[in-house]
Amino acid sequence: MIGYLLRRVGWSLFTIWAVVTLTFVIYNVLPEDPARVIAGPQARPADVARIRTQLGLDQPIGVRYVRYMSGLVSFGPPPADAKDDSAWALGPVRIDLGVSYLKRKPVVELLGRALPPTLLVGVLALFVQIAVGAFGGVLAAMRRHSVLDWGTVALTLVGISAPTFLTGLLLQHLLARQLVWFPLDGYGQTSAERLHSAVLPALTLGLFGAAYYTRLVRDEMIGLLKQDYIRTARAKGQREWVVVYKHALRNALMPLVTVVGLSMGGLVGGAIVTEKIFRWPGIGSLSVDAIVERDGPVIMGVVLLFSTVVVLANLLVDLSYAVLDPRVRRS
Amino acid sequence: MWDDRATRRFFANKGASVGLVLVALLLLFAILGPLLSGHHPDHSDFEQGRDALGQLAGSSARHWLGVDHLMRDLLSRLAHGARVSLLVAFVATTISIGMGAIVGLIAGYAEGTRARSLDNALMRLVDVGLSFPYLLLVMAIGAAVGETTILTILLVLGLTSWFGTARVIRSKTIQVRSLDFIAASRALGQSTPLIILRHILPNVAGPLIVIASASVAQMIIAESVLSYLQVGLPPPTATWGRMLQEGQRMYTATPRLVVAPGVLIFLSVLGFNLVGEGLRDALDPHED
Amino acid sequence: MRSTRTKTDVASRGGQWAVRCLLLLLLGCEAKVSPPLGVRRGDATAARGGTLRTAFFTDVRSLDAATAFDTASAAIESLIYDRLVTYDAHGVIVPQLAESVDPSADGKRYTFTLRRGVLLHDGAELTADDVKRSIERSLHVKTPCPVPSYYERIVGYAAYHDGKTASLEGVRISGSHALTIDLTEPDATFLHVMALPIVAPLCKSAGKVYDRTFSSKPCGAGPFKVDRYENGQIIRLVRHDGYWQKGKPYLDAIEWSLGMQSFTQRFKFERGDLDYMREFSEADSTLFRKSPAWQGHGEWEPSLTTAGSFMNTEMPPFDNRHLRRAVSFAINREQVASVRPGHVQAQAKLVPEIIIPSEPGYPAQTFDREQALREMALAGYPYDPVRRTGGYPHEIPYLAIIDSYSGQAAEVYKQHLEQIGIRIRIQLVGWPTFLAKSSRRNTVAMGFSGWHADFPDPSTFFEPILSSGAIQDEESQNAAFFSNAELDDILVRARRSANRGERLALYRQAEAIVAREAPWATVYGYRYFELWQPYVHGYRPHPVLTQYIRDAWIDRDGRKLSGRARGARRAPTTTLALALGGLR
Repeated sequence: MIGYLLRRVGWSLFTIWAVVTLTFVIYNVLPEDPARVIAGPQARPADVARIRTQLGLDQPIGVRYVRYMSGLVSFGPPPADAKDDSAWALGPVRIDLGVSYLKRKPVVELLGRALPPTLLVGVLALFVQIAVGAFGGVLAAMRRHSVLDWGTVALTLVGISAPTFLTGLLLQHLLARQLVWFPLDGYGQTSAERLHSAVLPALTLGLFGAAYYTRLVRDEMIGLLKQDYIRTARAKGQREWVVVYKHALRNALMPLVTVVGLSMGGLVGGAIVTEKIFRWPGIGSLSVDAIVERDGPVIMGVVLLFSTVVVLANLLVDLSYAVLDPRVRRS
Repeated sequence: MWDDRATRRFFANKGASVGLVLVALLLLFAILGPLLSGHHPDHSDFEQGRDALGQLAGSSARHWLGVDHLMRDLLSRLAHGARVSLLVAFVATTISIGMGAIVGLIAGYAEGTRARSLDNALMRLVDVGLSFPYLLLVMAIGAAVGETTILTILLVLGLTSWFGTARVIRSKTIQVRSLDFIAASRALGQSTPLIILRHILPNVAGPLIVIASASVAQMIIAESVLSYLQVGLPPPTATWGRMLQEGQRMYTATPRLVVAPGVLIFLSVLGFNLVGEGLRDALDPHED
Repeated sequence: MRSTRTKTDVASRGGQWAVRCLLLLLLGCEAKVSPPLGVRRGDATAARGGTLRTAFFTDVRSLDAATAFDTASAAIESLIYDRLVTYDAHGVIVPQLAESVDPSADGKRYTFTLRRGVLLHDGAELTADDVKRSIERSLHVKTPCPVPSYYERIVGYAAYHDGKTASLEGVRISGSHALTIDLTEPDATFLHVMALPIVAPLCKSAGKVYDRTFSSKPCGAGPFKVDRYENGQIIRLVRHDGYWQKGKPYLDAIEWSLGMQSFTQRFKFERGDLDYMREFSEADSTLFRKSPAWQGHGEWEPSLTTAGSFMNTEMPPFDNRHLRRAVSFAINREQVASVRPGHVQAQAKLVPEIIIPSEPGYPAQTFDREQALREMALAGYPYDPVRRTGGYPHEIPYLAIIDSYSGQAAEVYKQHLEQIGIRIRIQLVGWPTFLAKSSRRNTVAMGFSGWHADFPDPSTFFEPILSSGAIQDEESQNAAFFSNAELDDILVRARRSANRGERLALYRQAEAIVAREAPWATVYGYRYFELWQPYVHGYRPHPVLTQYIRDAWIDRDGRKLSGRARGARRAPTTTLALALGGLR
């Protein structure tokens, strides 16, 4: 088990390294010019050259790569010049993602500020997805071939087929503009305001997942309800809801957990389109701005965060399988 | 696999029939639409005046659905958008499914054999692929290169979407491989490529077809997202995502510029999803 | 209030909405705007108090005077940092923190006398020392100031900016409230660059060298100081009570929501959640301008921009002068402007109207398709528009920018150029790529060109973008790589001259060269429409400074007196009507 664990963790680290390196190479060979963006379109040539030197962009790509990677994780106390420190310290471990070219703030600080809004919407969306998915799926499966089942299937198809930028705009128009139930966009100042503002982006983000999970649970349940042990339970005269919840649902939730685990990356990585529509100051908005303005350190930071979360979630799903199913460990 | 019973089940499924009708209508619109409107999709009609409130003229005998922000015929542009969407969706799906199937079959067949390091390497590649934030990457490259052609879009969509398929096909292949008749053909000394093509591929074709039809729907969305984020095909080519993005600024005054491409995207994705559902149920029936 | 609404009400509204959605798809539709909330009371008098709420489409990256130079940052910096000189309501340079400015007879020395008793945001009194320290901070070698070279004519600039001297020689303190600045040669634009926020006096907390934390707690001598600044979210300024101009400003606070889409801004404005708005789509601004209820509450901001297409004079095919001229004759500027009526104005000359007004005979390019076809023939690529044969045989890539009007304008140019036998292929790229590619020698033959005045002087439209001095292999500001000895000579003479009449005559000659040689096809200028609620007084668009709301005040009684009931949307019948109205 220990060997398996070490191997999996090793491969996970390799995956993160590969993603980060690939991104670094790709961004650095594009024909772009961050120095010009920082200087502004009206800047004169000498001024642009000066900024390029200040950012170290005049160095060859290999030098920049080594500098970036060696600064990434380090140990020990912060440097003497604490004012310029752009690292995030966790005990003796220091993670330094550099300083944003344009916002001139440490990337760890920017990520730290964008993460809570993204998590708020992500967790709410996840809640919507799981709640709707579990209840809707079970209900539809229990009333197979009824109007309810038919309606659920139809609705889930609609949910799966509507792209986020459509549902987002539609929800915003209907619930914020016409009915004025929720704020149009923005993040709000107080916790209550933030929760209130988070509803629409969370619904937008959660709708697809809710539809998808409902389908997943329904189909899984329909299969399970035909199994022998369910028939036995029924034959023993147990009530239908006991049968459903005690025996079937627990098994039906297993694939759901897997899919949820795998979707974590998307939730934490931020939903670019949703955050754009609702002016939500999360990771998605941060990364769009960074791409538009060619803010290399921020782009790298977002990619690193995204791939780490995806890889971790994958690892957890795999490990939980390994714990549940000994056959996996051997393979 | 596919047989008469599957066909009967497919057509007995109301949803699948609706889906087929939607897809057929979409194809018809893509083929006939441009002829129907009689306007060039990229040509502005500057004679077209504005209404009393200074807004773009609505529907008229000349322009059935009115004109867009550059005074171009909306109907004609929608029809051209349909052509782009369908072309991209079908070809990108072919690439994606092909890659996924090849990698999945090879990895699955190699798993647990002497060649298992090949399986390992391929699965690591899939891991990296699945952990990559593509939208970011595609946006960055698109914004930097600017010379996006239909080929670039096809490659980007096709080559970044096969990782999941490869995983599914791999595990399916592992299941099929352990069946008796495969062992038998191996014992008879059939070559590996032959076994994969003759015996394994037909047995994983079911899931492949289902994945493919869902993938067409996803590709329609993906293409429209790229266009919406302005890294898809360059203007003046009409694509639904771009039309939606362009219309959004005028959304309060001229909602039809957003509603029309939006509804079309939705209906076509729905159509392909319904067909996919129908195929899945037909191939893998929940017996009642 | 909300609980009075019944379920059926909501359901019926949903149903109506669905029906309208379908109708909207099938039919065209007209839109209307609601009348303003609040009224304008003619007898209202300026009084202190109130918060003005507005928004920006973009984020504001930084508020450090030395580094931030974009429109949004500059607008806010105008309220935080007063400078030695600024522009009055007619765009004329006047002293601000300086009491007087005296140029010497040879134009090489400027003597500034500071006002006494000016308090900075930290409560300290402004002295000549603060002025010198702030200038040196911005021009310091370690400061990422985008445009230090604007100040290169100050004596000792090169040595200081290269880090060879510890102090900027040309800036001399001659008393606690007096200083002189020496120039290497006379420069008609010097006071203009002294009016930029880059050299605004800062508090001592800014330090002698740039430090990235200053942007989050800016400190200067302007009428407002920063209360909150959260990237991508909000900026809130509050009144600086020690402001040197007694009784001003009136507002307690100004709040900007950052990164708000224009249609969201319009909706919030209509609902009374914003007091002032600028970033309209042309469709929305037209609706407001055509609405009788909104008459008199909005105004156009003068355009300080020129846009069109550059043609690289060093690269084929545009090293052929006749082909460039053909393009300049082929573009129908009125049609380009008609796409965004009001906002985009046809402009066939380089210098915007507000800086040099046109008069009969002023040199400009023209739209003349026949002439364009003749130029094609002269260029060696005759085109027959009837049979559609001939013309330039290859497709020319045209570089434009994502998310800007440049792409849409290019879509129109493409149609115009097809009619004279030139085919272009539009490449939409991000801002960073655009800047990198268009400034590289022998890289881009044709693309969007646009210029925003750094300051309201004609020189800003020639020297940085069309003089041979602006050509480099990389980072060339002169995207047309246009080199013309006659033009260069005129520009130097105009910069050194102190005589306004003589300068105008010289720039007129320069304009004639550009119209004739066509390194750019000059096509349009872009401007904004500004609108404010009727209870906002004391504001008009400034000819130079964007959103200069320093002297605005809010009539709080007028805000309460409603033209329509604020809660009207809640009453069932009205809500329904409004819901439909909103969609119509």
